[in-house]
Amino acid sequence: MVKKSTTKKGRPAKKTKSSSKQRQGNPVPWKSILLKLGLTLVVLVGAYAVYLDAVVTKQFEGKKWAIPAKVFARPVELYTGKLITPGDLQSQLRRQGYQAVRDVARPGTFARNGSQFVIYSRGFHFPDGAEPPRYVQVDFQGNEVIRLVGRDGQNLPLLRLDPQPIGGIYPASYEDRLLIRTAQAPRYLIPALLAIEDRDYYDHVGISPTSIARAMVANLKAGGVVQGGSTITQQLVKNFFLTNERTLVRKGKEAIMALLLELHYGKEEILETYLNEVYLGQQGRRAIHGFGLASQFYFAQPLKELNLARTALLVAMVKGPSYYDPRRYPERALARRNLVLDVLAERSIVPAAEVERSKRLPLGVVSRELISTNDFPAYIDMVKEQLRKDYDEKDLTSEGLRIFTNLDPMIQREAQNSVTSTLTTLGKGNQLQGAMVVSSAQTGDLLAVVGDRNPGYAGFNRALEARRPVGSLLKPAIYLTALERPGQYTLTTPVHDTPVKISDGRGGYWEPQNYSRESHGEVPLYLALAKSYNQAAANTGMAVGLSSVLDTLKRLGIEQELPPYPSVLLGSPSMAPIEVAKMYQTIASGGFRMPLRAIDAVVDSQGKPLSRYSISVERAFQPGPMELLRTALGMVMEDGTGRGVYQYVEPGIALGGKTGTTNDLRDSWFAGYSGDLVAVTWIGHDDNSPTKLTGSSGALKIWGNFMSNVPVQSVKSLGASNVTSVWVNPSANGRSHRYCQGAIPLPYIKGSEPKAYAGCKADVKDSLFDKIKGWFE
Amino acid sequence: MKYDTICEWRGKAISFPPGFFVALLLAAVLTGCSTPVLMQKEQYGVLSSPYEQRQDALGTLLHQAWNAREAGRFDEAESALGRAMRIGPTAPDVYYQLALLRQDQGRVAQSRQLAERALSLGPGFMLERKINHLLSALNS
Repeated sequence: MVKKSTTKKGRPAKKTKSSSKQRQGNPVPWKSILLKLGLTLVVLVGAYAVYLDAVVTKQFEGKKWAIPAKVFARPVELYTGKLITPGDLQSQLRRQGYQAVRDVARPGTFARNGSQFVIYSRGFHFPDGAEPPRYVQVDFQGNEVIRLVGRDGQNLPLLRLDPQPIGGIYPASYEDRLLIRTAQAPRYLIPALLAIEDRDYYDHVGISPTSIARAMVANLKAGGVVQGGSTITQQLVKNFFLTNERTLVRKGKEAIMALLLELHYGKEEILETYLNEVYLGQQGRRAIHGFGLASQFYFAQPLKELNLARTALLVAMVKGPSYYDPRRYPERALARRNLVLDVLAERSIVPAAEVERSKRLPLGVVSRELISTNDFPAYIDMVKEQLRKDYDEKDLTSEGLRIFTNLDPMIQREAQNSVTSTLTTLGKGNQLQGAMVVSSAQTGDLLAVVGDRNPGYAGFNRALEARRPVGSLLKPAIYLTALERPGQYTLTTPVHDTPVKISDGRGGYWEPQNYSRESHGEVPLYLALAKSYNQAAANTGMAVGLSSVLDTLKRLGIEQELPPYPSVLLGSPSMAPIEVAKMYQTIASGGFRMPLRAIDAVVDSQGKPLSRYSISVERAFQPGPMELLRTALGMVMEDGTGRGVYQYVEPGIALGGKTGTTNDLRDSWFAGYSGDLVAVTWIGHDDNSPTKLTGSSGALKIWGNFMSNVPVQSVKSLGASNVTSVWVNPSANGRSHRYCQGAIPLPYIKGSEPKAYAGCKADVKDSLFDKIKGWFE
Repeated sequence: MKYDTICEWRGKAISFPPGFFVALLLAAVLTGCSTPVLMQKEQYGVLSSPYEQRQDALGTLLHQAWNAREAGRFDEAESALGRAMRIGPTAPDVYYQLALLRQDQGRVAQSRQLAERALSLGPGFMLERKINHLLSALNS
């Protein structure tokens, strides 16, 4: 050994000698070079650290994330007289993450005993101020709320629940989060998180070699990976500043940045940032970040309401949100959740008995289906469209605005169900598509938008974007134009359903046919509308003047410029369902034009109101002609092309509406209203091929189905002072009597009612006795 | 003097001929028809909320809106009316209240339209008079 070593030593010694000779001749200053190199390296690392420091502080101070705007449905309000089935209320509470319990003791819980509920509502900051949590007993009789009683036994006028979140307006990255403060974390979240991810968090300086060693031991003991070696700070740095690549350089960078972060900021701030930054799931393109949003995403509950088991599940998922996705791999997720719970018991963070109880609980995750049916992308498209007029896209996707809408979650769900189930029943395969728009008849609040047969589908939104010929839906404008001239037209004025040939304004001729290919001769005006006769509409439209009809359409709320061609009369212009809804809104409200309002109010991230979108109305038609038109649209439902509706709705309920069918049965439309709702439905193919459906055999079924599943009020008379009701024989356009066969009462603008009698008992009808008898009738 | 004499008569339990009561009734009806009681109340600044006694949801919100508007808290009044409109979209009171709010905000044209809207929803006799009074005030 010694020899060898001597020999070995000898050789280099020679070399050293010779090199020293060389050095003597041409000396190489190794030490100096090394020193310089070292110094350069230190300067470079120092400079790099300074650069990283700038990066860390710049990104960490001020606004850390772009927070997408959050969109909310209108809140459910309960009050005496509110019509809602107990089942619907229960399912709505569940959708909003209210937990059914035996003893209602904290916000976000409820109990139901038959027709009696006890609800502990969550507090919420509305645009008009804070609504505190309330404990209220709600009594039902049938489908009506009959009493609300507070904890003190006093009757309460109303209870406002927190609004259901219905989606967001996301930036291109689709990164979504719901910011929380550390104080909002449930009791065991932070202890559990630190126990699993970084038990020395409060002792290390950003990196912790002992953590890595301990993690290795723990993992070996557990026979799998239960702990990571990176500190919370390192994980935050990785997520917040770096990419996911696994290289040594990246690790080095991560370590330096972790140290710098700890140097500049306190443990609490770093932890709070981590709670909001951590990636916890994926929904399509939308990335779920932070515990606040994850709690909503997995349990539909606010974070602070989570119990131990649910808290443990979220902590368990930090390690791999895809691998431990509780919806896709429930067994895997359950095993890891219980492992987390065991660690908590082992470390005496939670009493063992509570851990055992929690381990027996199911995962409690709300279904993917519920999450997707709680998202209303078609409605949000409309919200975005209205917001773009007042806000920049950047503000919408980054400033954490909160948008309160007029969407009624129960109406929206029924609308979607009606579209989906009717299209399935029509059995035309998956190609048949549908759309629907529902608004409040009296206020123009937009209650629901369905843009696709599949719930939650976020793509081509047919309710707003599918512009298709509207067919007979424009006919009410022709007859309204006529009825505004009571000297010339009444509901019983004979109109000509006879062949028509008109110059089409483009060098050709327009010769419309009736659907049945038959002409009906002279028919009362109301019947021509009820039966949707094309030739009568064309003749009447030309008689009152095309420009007058176009003007009426504009006053009804059709904003697009329509070409002055006769074919417009029979609905050749293409419109989206939402545009048709505007027109029927004016009719449903009794002649007041009002915008369809999707948004109620917008507040900033601090809850400060930014804008409010209140109702604005404008009288566009006098009540007299409007009353007449509404009567005719009621006849459409009773005796015309819309009569199929009464297979769905109780016959005593007065409704108004109109079918629409386009050439070759490509589009099937129905637009109509009850006393409280306006709804427009459309069925068609995306490639515009024929559907083999008329308005009556297609879209009307969606409409009827929908109306049968929501509380419906009758259409009421407008009570116009210049309108009188007269019993008439409509086919003869003459007066009649209640007791005469075929006689019906119809409204007339005073002075325009028929004077001559054309009813039964012609010899008696003009007698004084008969007239006096008529007064009492 | 005249009032004192009436009291003395009543004190002495003087009996009146039947025609007197008919005349009295007639006079009361005619007076009722010709005196705009509500108009006078508002003109003389009696500002207590007409919904004060209401215990129902709609009444509670209308009361809240009335008080907020009278105190100049227009945002609060607007919110309460927004809620009221969702509960009672056909209640003429809601639109009348909103018309008053718009009047206070100086939005005369919209106030007029909302008053028209309230009229179109079949208000009772008393409310109809109030609305007409508002409309004539707006037109002047």
